[in-house]
Amino acid sequence: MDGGRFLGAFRACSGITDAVVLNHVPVGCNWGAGMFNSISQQADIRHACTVVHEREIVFGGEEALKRALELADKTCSTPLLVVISGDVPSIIGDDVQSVIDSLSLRKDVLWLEAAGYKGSMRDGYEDALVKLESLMKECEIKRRSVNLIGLCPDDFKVHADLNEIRRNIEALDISVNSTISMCSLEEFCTAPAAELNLVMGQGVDLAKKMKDDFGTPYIELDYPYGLEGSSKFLEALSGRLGVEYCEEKFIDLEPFKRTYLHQHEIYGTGVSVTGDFRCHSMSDFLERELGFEIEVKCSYDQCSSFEDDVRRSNTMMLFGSSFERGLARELAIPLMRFVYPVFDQVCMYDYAPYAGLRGTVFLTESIINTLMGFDKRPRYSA
Amino acid sequence: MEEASLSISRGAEDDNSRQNSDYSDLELNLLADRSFLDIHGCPSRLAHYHGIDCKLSGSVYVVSEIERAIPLIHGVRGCAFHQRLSPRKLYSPVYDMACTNLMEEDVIYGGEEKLRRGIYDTYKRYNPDLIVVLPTCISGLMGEDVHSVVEDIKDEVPCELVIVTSEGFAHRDHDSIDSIMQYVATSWKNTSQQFDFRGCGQVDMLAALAEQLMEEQDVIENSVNLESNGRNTFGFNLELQEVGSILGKMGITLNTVFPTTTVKRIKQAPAARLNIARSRTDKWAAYMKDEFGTDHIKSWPHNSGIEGMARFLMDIGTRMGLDGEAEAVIDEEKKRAEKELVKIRHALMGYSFAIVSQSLIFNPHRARVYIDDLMIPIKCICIDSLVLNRLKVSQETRDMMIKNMYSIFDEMNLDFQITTDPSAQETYKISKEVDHVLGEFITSHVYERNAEIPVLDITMFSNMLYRTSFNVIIELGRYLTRRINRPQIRDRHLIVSRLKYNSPYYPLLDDPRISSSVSMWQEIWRANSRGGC
Repeated sequence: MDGGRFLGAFRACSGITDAVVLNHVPVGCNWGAGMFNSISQQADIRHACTVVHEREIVFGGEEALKRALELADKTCSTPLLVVISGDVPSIIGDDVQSVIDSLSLRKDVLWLEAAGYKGSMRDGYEDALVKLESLMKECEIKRRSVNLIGLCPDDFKVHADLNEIRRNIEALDISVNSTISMCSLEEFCTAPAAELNLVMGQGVDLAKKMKDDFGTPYIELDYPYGLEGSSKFLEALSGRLGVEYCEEKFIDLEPFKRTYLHQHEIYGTGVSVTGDFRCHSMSDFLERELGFEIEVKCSYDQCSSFEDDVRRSNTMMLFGSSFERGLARELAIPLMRFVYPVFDQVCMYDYAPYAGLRGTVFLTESIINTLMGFDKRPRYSA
Repeated sequence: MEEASLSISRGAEDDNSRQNSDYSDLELNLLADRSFLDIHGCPSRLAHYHGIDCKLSGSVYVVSEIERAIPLIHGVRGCAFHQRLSPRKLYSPVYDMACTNLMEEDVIYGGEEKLRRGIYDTYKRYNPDLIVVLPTCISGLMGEDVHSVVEDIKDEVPCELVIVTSEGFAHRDHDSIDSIMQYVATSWKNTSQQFDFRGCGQVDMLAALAEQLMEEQDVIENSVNLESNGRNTFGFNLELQEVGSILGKMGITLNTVFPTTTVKRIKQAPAARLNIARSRTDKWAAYMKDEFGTDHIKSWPHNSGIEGMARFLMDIGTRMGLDGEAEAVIDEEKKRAEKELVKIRHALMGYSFAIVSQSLIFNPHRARVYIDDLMIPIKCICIDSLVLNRLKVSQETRDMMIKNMYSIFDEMNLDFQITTDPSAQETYKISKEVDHVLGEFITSHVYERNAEIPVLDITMFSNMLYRTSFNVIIELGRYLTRRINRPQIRDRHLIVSRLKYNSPYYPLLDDPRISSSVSMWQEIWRANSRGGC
């Protein structure tokens, strides 16, 4: 299951919090991208589309794009317009650059091609960030500062996770320069001021490009789930920047003592995990730190037989996205949503993370509560 | 005769349990729908201010209503990914969906072989009764001969195959909302005309089922088909239960609940004597009339109220040749209702009311429920017509709708004040002059100033007033009698009332990100959508 290149590009670009995304697509593509984004971001809508219609199929979409750009330039006060060109303009051969060049607009306009048939959501995300990199500028390096790369504004728990990851990093006396792509245009443009790029799961192409263009080194780390995952994350970071990290000072086991009997009880329980790159670090945490048995683990780009594999397994709890709800219901087991897309739960509180050290506490609490709050019913009827 | 059962497809088991459970209490039934279904739908309502959904989503939605039917999207994986979340059923995503996953080489060399394989694979994986092939923008642009592929292999695939034109670029145009509103306004007393809702995936999908799946049948006397609003929509189970029950008393059976049923039932739909269709999606019924001679009647706002409902049921009875039976049932229902309503009217008569409403513009006949049936002592009706601005309804259509509403009020010849688009201050003043304000959750002032204007929310019932039976009217009356006896909370400080809203785009927030995005969309939509070539 993959959202395709267009959705990946949209997720990357919509993370620039003062940019407007103009999707050069038919209405449906624009709707789909926006719908997943709007569940927990109801006050942050910054996109529209050029309404590619039958007429554009016949006569081309350049006029529609031109009109839309002029109107977007007039109606929006943001400094940047990003045009994402989807499947249809790609096939009908719209010359997007020429249209942009023919206009005198107040805003900066950047465009990228993201035809869905040309790659995965990850590809779209990587390419969009690389394209956006052209906006970055040389900066004076801030000592002991990092950029966090790999985030999307519609990731589940992303604001809370980011707060906690930032708190953990800042506790090492390291500052967070830019969070990509969840930052203002100015923060994005000044990303080269960081001493190090820290890539969490995706965005490695941007990191490579920044290394080439600005000399910013990078490291790739797993998304920090669990005490161990968070410790590894912080150890790697501190090691790279020459800062001391002492695990004992950071880890507070007191909250875990409060439910240690429940943690004993879940040991050995079979669970299955699916998701984007986060599924690997999540299953590591579940297996290595909580003692679950991982029955099936499958990242979105790995396999298509996840559902059938889970049906054949002894899975008692699923970890994934809202799309796994049907399977969980079918198997009469609980579902823990942790990964995009989540559209049947909302995130409001920015201090209830799943990632980082405190996130481990809340994640564990949520898992135990999900299990305890589940009304067991027979899995197979006679 | 075997009666239609509501069939539940995979991914909708919750509705199955709801359908089978004992929801004898009408209010509880509606409350459950509002609490557990509508909570999912709110982002979709918001999203309609800055976009419209794909034609494909309407088609996928209809397929998901059919038991053991699988949509096969002939396009890129991105289409399949986001079409799983249909705006009509955010509560229950379409879990079982297939996609041919067209890639760059397919765009160059063609994807017909992938489609052929996709149909076989879909059958092998899901063992469905029906596969609905849905071309997308990409396959449409590639000029894929979907019909030939399906024709070639249909004998080798042991299930039904239906093709629906659903290319996303053939969506409805920016005039469509105005056209719908104009249709509503011009046919507010008479539903004989048909509405051509071009570019709607739901309309085309329903028509395709009629054209490609239905088969000539021996007509079963006294049977009807009922067009469903969708199993995950507000009031669906209640409507089915109520309509089924009252028709049953008239000796009429439900043949097919279309399309919320099995493939077999859809095939057998022409066995019905009459189709009860919905307003804007009745292309399927027009086809059935031409092809199978099945008469049809539309469920429509003028069926509101005791008399409206009685006329509707009488019309059905007459068309079925069951005048006597219908008359007897209607008389009995009316007597039963009247007995209950006498008590309700007595309880309400000691109070004064104001109604703050948007829905009276769309369906002025609802006023008959408040005034003729419940005889609520109304001092003032405040009409919120700003919704027409938000929907970009033309001035001509607006005038028509407002005129219809005033025409109903004139016919009633009652002494109540009518205020159109009162300010918050005016609404507050009116609220001080009455005992109770009845309102709808979407109406801005009552929520923006909730602490000062306590509102008794009747949205749950007002949306059902023309859809079901006499029981909803009685239940609304009971609800009001219970609520007016509860102490009013006048010191609420709702968090949502602390937020600033965007007028005229209530309930969007007054946030520059939203305002400029909505303006941008509205301008582009108006400029670039002109109904195709």
